[in-house]
Order: sequence, then C-alpha cells, then structure tokens
Amino acid sequence: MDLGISFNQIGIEGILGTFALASLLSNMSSLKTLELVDISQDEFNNNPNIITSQGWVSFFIALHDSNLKLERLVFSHNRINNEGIQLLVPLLSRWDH
Amino acid sequence: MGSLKYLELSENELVTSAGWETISDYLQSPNFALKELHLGRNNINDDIVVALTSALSHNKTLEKLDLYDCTDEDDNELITERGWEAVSTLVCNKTSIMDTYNSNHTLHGLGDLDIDDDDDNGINQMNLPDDLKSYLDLNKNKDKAEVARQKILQTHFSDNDTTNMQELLGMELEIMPATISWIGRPTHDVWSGMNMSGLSTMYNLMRRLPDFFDTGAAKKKSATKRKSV
Repeated sequence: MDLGISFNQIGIEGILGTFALASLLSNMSSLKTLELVDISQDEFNNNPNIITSQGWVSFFIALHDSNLKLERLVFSHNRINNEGIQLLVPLLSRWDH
Repeated sequence: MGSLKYLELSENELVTSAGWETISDYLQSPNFALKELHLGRNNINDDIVVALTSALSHNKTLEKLDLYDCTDEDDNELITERGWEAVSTLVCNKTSIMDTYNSNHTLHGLGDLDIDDDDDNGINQMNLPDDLKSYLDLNKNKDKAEVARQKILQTHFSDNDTTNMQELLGMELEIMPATISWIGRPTHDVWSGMNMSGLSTMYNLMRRLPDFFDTGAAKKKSATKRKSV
C-alpha cells in the first residue's frame, strides 16, 4: 500500500493533524511507500495550518510504537529540525529490524 | 536485511550539521539496506560528507547518495574539494592494493535523479574531480571483481608508477601465471579505454620479464623457419 500526502496542509491545527496521521500510520504494517513532501512550508507566513518543527518532533515520537515496514520514505521540503532528524534516525533503524 | 530501500530527505534546510551527523550512525546500522539516499539541497558541508563516507566504507547496498546543490544562503557550495576527496577515497582508497580492493565498489551516483539523464543527474554541475567521476563510472559495472581489478590496475600499475611493478616481478613464479591472467583478463569493454590499464600493465610486464614470455624462443623458431625456406 502506498500513501502520498504532499504539497498540502494536512493539519487543521498542525500538531493535532500530525498526531492523527501518526496514529493512523502506526496500524499500517502493509504500507510500503510514504510520501510527505512540502506539507509544512509557509511562503507567505500567513498559513495557520503549517506543521512546525515541533509538530514533526511530535509526529516522530508518535511513530515510535508503529509497526511500519516501509520500503520508500520521501520526506522532502519540510520544517524538520535537528531534534526531528535525531528522532527519525532511530526510527529508521528500528523499522529495519 | 532491512526493508527501507529509498529515503529522501532533500530540502530540509532547518537541519544543521549536528542533525545530519546522526544520519551517519544510521548508515552503519546492521540491517541497513538503503539503495538510494537523497540529501540534496541541504546544509551539508565537508565535515558531514567525511562522516558519511566514513560510515559507508564497508557498505555494499547504497548505490546513490544525492548530494546535489548543497549550498549556503549566498549560494556558495558547501561541499568543497575536501568533501569530494573523501568520496573519492571511499570509492578508491589508494593507500595500498588491499585498501583499493576493499574500497566501496557500489556507490555510483551523487546527483539528483530528478535532473535529466543527459546531464547524468546534474553531476556535471557539481565540480567533481575527474578521478571521482571515473571511479563512479567504474562502479556502475555489476561485476564488482572487475571493478576492483580496474581500480587496482589504474591506481597501482599505471605507466608512471613502477614501484608495484617491482613487487610483481618479485612474485613467486608459481603464482605468476595466475597474476598475468588476472592482469590481462579480457572484458566486454576491452577496447573502450577502461581496460587499457590492464594491457599497459601487461606490456610493461613483458618488457621487464621478456624471458618469462618466451619471446626468445619465438624468435629462434621464426629464424629456423626462415633458414629452412
């Protein structure tokens, strides 16, 4: 199963949206491709629905208990920060086991 | 072996060096199975490239590492000669013949796959050293033993380097035939230029060890033939 949520503002309130998505993904062991591209950009600084860096941190924390076995993860052009990437990396290693 | 084969983290400009350093830990995880890792258009500098290449030294799965267009706010390239040199050493460590043999023979792409193939995924815009481009090209060959052979011949037995030739000449005679066969082994692209180093090494070997190739016997034989005619 593939899931692409790109070039979008998925969350009505950002973090809540990412939490909802993470919970959904946690039960999707058949998901092979996940594309989350450009869903937290805010070129005009007036979009209340963007997913902030902290939103992504929450997202990765929520995914820690997931049983995902992804083959392809596309996570480009987002507002992930150092904390986010440091949470994502152990997730990747865990998914590989 | 892990399941994740493709990871794209391009254009996440808020991540700094400290964040990218953690990626190198992932590259060394025991079940790492990635074939493509896209890190283009990020704040990736020489230090990160050195860490990434060090982590990939024993990797045999990663074919593409996209480092395209890693620039700062003023559009200056963050990966300089030092960074590319580290990649070059990864794919062809020249320290010794064994180091060359044990180099990474899998990685063959550093460009952005979204860029048209005519430009080799943008690699021509990346100011890569020529030798690195040549090693990446060699790594495209699926026959990794042949890739290792080509790198060893090009690096350690070029016309200008006679040090290793001396080592070859001092080799025990019993293993010399196998060595000569290895040097001159024909490949599919024997005349394409990439295998010329094998023929050059063979030529240099023949010049230095004429007796081994029995050229005198061949001359005598032809002389006898001429006399009898």
